[in-house]
Amino acid sequence: MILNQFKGKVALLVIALCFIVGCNESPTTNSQQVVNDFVKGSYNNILKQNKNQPYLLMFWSQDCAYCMKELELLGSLVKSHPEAKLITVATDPFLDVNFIRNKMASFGLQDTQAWVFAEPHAETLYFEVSPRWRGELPFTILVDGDNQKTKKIGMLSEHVITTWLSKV
Amino acid sequence: MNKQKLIVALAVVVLSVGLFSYIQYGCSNKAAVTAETADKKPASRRHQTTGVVSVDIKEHNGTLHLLLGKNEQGQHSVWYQTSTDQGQTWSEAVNTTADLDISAKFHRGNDARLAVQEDNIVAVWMSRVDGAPHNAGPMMSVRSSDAGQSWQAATMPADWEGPHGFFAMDGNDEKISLVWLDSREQIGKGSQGLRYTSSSDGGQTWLENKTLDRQTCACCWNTARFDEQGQLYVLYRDKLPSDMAIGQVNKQDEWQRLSTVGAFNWDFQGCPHIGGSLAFDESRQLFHATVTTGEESKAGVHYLNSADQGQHWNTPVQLGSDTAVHSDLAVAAGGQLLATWDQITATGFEVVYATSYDQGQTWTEQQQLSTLGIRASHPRVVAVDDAFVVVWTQTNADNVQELQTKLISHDS
Repeated sequence: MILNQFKGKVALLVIALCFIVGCNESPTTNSQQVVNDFVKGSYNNILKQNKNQPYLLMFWSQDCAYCMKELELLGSLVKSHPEAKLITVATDPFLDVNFIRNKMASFGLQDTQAWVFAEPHAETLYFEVSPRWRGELPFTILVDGDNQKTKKIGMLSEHVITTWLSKV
Repeated sequence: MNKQKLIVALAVVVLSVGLFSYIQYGCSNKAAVTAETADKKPASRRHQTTGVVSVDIKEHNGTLHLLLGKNEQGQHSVWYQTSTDQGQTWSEAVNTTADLDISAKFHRGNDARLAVQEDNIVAVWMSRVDGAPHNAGPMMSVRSSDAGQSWQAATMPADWEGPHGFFAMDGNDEKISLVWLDSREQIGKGSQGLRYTSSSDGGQTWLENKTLDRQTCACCWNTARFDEQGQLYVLYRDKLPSDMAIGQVNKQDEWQRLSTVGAFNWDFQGCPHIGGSLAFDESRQLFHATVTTGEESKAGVHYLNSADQGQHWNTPVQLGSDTAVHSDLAVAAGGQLLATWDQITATGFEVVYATSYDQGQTWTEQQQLSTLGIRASHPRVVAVDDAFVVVWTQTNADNVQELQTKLISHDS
C-alpha cells in the first residue's frame, strides 16, 4: 500500500517535470517561428491579447516592394529596441509558412509574432481590420500603452516610428 | 509519513514552478499562443485562385473580343472568344496557348491584355518565374493573323528581359501599341517605369522600347486607347504624388505627359494595386475617366471629364462610397455613360454601377450588379449599339472564380 502511494507520488513528480520541460520548449527556443492563421476575429483577438501594452502591427505582401523596405526598417528597430513588440501579418492568403519564416529571418524578425491571412478573399479581412482599408500596402497600426491606435497606410517614416517609440 | 509529506510538498513546489513557467513563457511569449496558433499546418498550403483569373474585353467594328486567363489546378491557359450580337452569345473559346507550356502570373488587376487590328490580334501577359523577386517574369505574347482562329507564340515586344507587368494595349488601322511597367531603370524606392512599343505588322516585330515615364507606381494597371486621329492616350498612376496621370503618344511615337487626372495630392509610399479607366466621346469632344484615390478625405472612385483632349479635367465627382476600389467606364454613341466599380463589404467585394445622361454632370444612384453576399470584383464595361456589356469575375460555391456578363440597355 505504502509502496503504491510512493509510486504514485513519483509518477506525479515525473509528470510535473515533463510539464516544466514541455513549457520551456517555447517558440522562442524553437528554431521554427510560429506562423498563425489570421482569420475573421483574429484582429480583435490581437487587440484583446495586447490590451494596455504598446505594439506595432504591420500588414505586408510578398509582391510589395515597399513592404520589404518597411520590414527591413522594422528589423533595425528590433535590434535597437528589443523591448518593442512587433506583429507582422502576411496578406497573401495561405502564403507558404516557410517562405514567411525565411522572409522574417532575412530581416532579423524571426522572434516576432507572425501571422498569415487564412481566408481566400483578403478583402473580408481588410474590412474587419479597417472598413476604409482597400488593401493598400504596407499598412501599419501603431498602438500605444493606452490602446490608442495610429493607422498608417504606406511606408512608415522614421518620424512616425520615433514618435511611437517615445510612448512605448 | 514524514517522507510522504516531503514528497507531496516537493510535488506541489514542482507543479507551482511548472505553472509559473507556463504562464511566464507559454502564454505571453512573443510568438503568439492563441486558439488559432497551433502551427501544425503543413509548410505549403499554396492557395491559388482558380478558374477565370484574368479578363480583358475590347469592342472592334461591332465585334466583342474577350480574352480570359485561366488557372485550372495550377495549369495556366489563355482563351479567346468573340461575340457579334452584342454579348448575347459567344463563339466557342479558342485556347491560344494550347501548343505552349506557360506559367503565367496574371490575376485581376494585372490581367492578360489583347489588341485587335482587323484580323491581327495580339495578347500579352506576365510570365511566372518561381524564385524570382515576386515570382515575376518577362512578358509572354501570342498572336493571330486569322481573326483568332489560330494562334502562335509571338516575338516578345520588350527589349529588356526582366519582369514586365500591368499591360495596356490598343490597335488601330496603322499599328498595335503596348505599354507596361518594368524596372529596367530604378528611380527611387519601389517604383517602376512606364515603357512603350508598337508594331506595324500585326505583332510580328516591335519597335525599340521607349520610356514614357521613368518613375511610376509599381503595381497599378494602365489604360491605353487610340483616338480617331491615331494618337494613343495612356492613363497611369504616377509617383510623387501617387495621383493618376494621362499622356499622349502621337503618330510619330513622341510622348507628352498632359495632366494629372484628379489632383488629390495623394502621397503614398506603397502599393495601391488600383488603376483607372478612360473613354472617348468623339462626337462631343469629351474624354471621360474614372480614377481611385486613397487620399484620406477623398478616398474612393471619382469620375472626371476633359473637353480639351486631356489637358485639363473638371472637378471630380465621387461615385459610391469610400470603400469603392476598382472601376471602369464606357460611353455609348448617344453620349450615355456607364461607370461600374467594386466596393468592399463585410462579405467581400461586390459589383455595382451607375449611369449618367448628361455627360457626367449627374449620376444615378448606384445599382447592384453582382448577387449580394457573393464575392465579385474587377468589373469591365464596353459600349455596343444598344447596350453596355459589363463583365466581372465572381466566386462560385466551389470557390472557383467565374466570368459573369450582364447587358444593360443604354436607356435603363
